[in-house]
Amino acid sequence: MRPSLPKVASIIRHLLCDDRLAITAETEFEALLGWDDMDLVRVVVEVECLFNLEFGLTEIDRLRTVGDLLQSAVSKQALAAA
Amino acid sequence: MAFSGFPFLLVFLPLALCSFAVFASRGEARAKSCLIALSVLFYSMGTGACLPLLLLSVAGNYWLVRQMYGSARAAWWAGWGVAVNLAVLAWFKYLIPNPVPPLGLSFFTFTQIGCLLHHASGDIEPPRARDYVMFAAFFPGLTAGPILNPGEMLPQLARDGDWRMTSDRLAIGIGFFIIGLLTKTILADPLAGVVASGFADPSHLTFFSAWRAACSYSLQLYFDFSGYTDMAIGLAWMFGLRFPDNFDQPYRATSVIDYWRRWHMSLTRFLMMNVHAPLTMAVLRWRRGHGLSVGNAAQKTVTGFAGMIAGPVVLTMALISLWHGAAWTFLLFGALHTVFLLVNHLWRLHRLPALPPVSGMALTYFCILVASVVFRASDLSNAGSLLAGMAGWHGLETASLNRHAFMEIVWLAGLYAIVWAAPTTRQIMQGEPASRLAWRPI
Repeated sequence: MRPSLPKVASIIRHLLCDDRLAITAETEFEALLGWDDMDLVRVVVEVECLFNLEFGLTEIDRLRTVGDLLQSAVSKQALAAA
Repeated sequence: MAFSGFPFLLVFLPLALCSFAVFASRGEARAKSCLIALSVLFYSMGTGACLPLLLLSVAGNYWLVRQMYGSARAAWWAGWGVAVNLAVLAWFKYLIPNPVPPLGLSFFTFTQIGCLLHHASGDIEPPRARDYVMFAAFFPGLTAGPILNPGEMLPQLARDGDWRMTSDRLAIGIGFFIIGLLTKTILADPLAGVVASGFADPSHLTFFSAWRAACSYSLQLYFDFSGYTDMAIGLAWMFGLRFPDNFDQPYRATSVIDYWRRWHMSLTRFLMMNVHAPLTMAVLRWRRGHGLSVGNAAQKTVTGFAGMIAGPVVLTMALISLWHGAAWTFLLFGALHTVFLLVNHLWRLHRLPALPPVSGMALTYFCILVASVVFRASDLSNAGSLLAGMAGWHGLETASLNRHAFMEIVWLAGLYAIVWAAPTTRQIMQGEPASRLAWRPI
């Protein structure tokens, strides 16, 4: 399964229990209502599980927007396939 | 040797600036050697008997960092290194009778543990010896922090050129240093008398006196620590290095979670990066591996909340308690903050309506004030007694509200105005807000 914006957005909506959350690639994690630092770790672990990837904490550091996470997941998957 | 004392201001600092100006103009190696010699001199003048411990710690940790590079067992080396560092810290801080811990032991130990963990993958090239010694023992941060992050500091130290003393760096550094010096000497130090007498025997303190002692301590602690940090940041600037921020208007926090992002940020970041985040990640991966959800709904269950939120928070706060020492008051301080944080997380998780900012700030500050009374008290009995006084159990004593007391209230109100309304030192000096230093490394 390839990582895509709808899938990542769906993970975030599911984790935060908010089906109406508007999410684009430019959405900054810290701008989401009630966001906590550790919520990003939850999102990443869910992405890891769904797409069979693994992120390090220093990689998570660089993720500011949903687009950053998506791009990183796509690159990791491509690297694993190569 | 305190930064605000005459020996430092009149002898050490001029000597350091003059010698650095001379040696820095002759190249990078001499600039760094000069700063290392100054750091050894600074530490020797403070507590010469502990110098061998510092040198041994720096040498041992640097040997480990070099061993780890390219090794298949890098994580194993890092684990042993962390264990030995913590054992040394525990020995001097908690285990030997009547301990007077070596100056700065906690700071240079944690800074080096951070470096070991930074290199634990085995694929990051170790710093050069001079750079490492500077990282671990550079005198501005040696005794009271901030705790340095290897990801931020080692690249600064590794630069080959640009070590000359410049007027820009000197001006910014002196600005930071003077603001820190004034904060400590004019705002913090005069409160010491009221605090000492109030906490010495709180059993007789009436309502007004108890609040005066508690508020004075809260302000003294902030001005003293933030002033000292500003002086350390200023000193580092003078020698061309940028230290991380340690405070970002913490008493303006509108929640306890927010407070811990603003108070002693370098320690909080260290613990978030090396304890809280890895532990949370391990718990989340374990849950997903066992088919359990990590969503908000799961976090609202008792087991989900305990594993994903409470466990990492309890462990992190326990370490913060231990950081300050082995005393019941520190343990209760940590326990109180743990409860505050967990309530805050439950509030956030259940999307309860946020308080208006002023109410949130007042409630947060009240929680912090209560915990700080416990932190400062000599024992739990004194802490309870002072808190009872604040609740009015020892009487109100309105008759003592004379002109002197009125002036004290006005002075404290002025200090609170500075705490709540004044910009940070970084905003004053550089026109930029304090970097929030979330748990993420740079």
